[in-house]
Amino acid sequence: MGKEPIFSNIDMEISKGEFTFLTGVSGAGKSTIFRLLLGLEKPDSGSITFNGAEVTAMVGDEKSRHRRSIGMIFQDYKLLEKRTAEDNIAIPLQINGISRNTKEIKIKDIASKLKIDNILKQQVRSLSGGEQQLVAIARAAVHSPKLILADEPTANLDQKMAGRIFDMLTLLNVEGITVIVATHDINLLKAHKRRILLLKQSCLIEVH
Amino acid sequence: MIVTAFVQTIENLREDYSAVLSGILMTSFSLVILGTFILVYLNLIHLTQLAFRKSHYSIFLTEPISNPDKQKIASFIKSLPDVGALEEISSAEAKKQLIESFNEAQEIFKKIDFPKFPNIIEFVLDRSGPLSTDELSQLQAMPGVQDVITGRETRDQINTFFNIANFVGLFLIILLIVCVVLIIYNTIHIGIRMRSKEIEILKILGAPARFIKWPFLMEGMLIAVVSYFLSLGIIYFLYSFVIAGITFNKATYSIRAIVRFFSPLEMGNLFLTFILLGLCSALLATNKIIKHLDV
Repeated sequence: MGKEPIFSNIDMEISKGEFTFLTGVSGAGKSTIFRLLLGLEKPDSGSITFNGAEVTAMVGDEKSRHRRSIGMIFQDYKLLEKRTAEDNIAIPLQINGISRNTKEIKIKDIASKLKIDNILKQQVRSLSGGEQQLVAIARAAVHSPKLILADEPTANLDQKMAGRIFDMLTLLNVEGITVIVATHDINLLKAHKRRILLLKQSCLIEVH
Repeated sequence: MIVTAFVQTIENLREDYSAVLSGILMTSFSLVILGTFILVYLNLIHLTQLAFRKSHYSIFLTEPISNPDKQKIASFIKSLPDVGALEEISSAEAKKQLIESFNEAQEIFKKIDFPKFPNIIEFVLDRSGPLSTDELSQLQAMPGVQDVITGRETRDQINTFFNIANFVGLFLIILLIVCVVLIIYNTIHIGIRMRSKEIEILKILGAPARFIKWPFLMEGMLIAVVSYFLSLGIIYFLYSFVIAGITFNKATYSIRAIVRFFSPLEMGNLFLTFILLGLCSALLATNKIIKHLDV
């Protein structure tokens, strides 16, 4: 109603198994794209199709099911701080109604892959930022989602830890999970030659 | 789902028990008042039923009365179903009993020249209902019967009192139930507000509404159940204390056999009622607030 649209005429397609960077200056709308993909926001017009289903038309349980097929990683981790790392990683499995034994196996498996076995029993608030982000990645990937959306996953981390986080995301991508990383970290974009989508002046431009 | 929700509830309680604890204490306090009121009310009804089970009747005889008429009246009374002992009180005995009832003032009343007392036949009817209209009119029509005193006025007065007590009692019960619902509702409301960040994370991770709601519903039921047992314990303690206090001597010891605590059936009904109240209150709170947190 008289407001300027955040995006206009955006058209993009991401194939299964791709690793894509979504970049742009702060406030360009990277996080909004993720919120649209998750069904947390509705576009004024247009459509978003995920795995053959129309996201904008989803309601109730259908929307929940759609979100369960996506792993989300946030810049501020969004972990339950009073719980242990293991409890946090277990949440998507609990939501999916996975049995206790399978849950334990899956948690051990992802923890070993991300090399965080030693911090599983620790309370999240006692962990460093980098460790918390690794727990967030483990939580996003433990139920083998089709897509992982990482919103500025390395923003608050030193270079060494940022490298480790990126390696983990690459590892998950190699295993077949589609990964979209929103970042404005030029160094990260330069260091890794991947498809880059740039959000600029309400438009989406393909860089590579 | 239920097991996961239960584990989740325990986790939530471990993290933030203060709101739930205050909810339990406040609910228990309301339930103690509610339970005490219900218990006193049940005992009053019970005692009144016991008191009315035996109806006392006094038949005032005409003066003079012939022996055959007196015999006919006595035979008629004995023929009534459930009739107890029959006692004949002479005019002189009636006057003596009246004067004795004035205790310290007896000497003064001895000097008063009372009008002549009638001869009286007293009997007790050991049944829940009084004499039927037919029985009463037959008795009143018999020769030698001046009047039949039934105690109906006292019964009517007590019935009026019970009608008022019923109305006030119902109002109080509804008021206390509303209090219990509001306390549980507010406790769950606070719990949801405290965990709003957690709820938003769960929604983003794809948790369906029932997954988020169940731990809160369980919390509501848990508050109701714990409060129920706590208040029942307190009421039992108060009941025992009061009974021990008023039945310390032989004269009042028989009260123990008359007054009663809640029966197992009543306790079961109250238990189910409170679980339902807890569930409904929590459902109201979760439906209202989680809608606002919709993402």
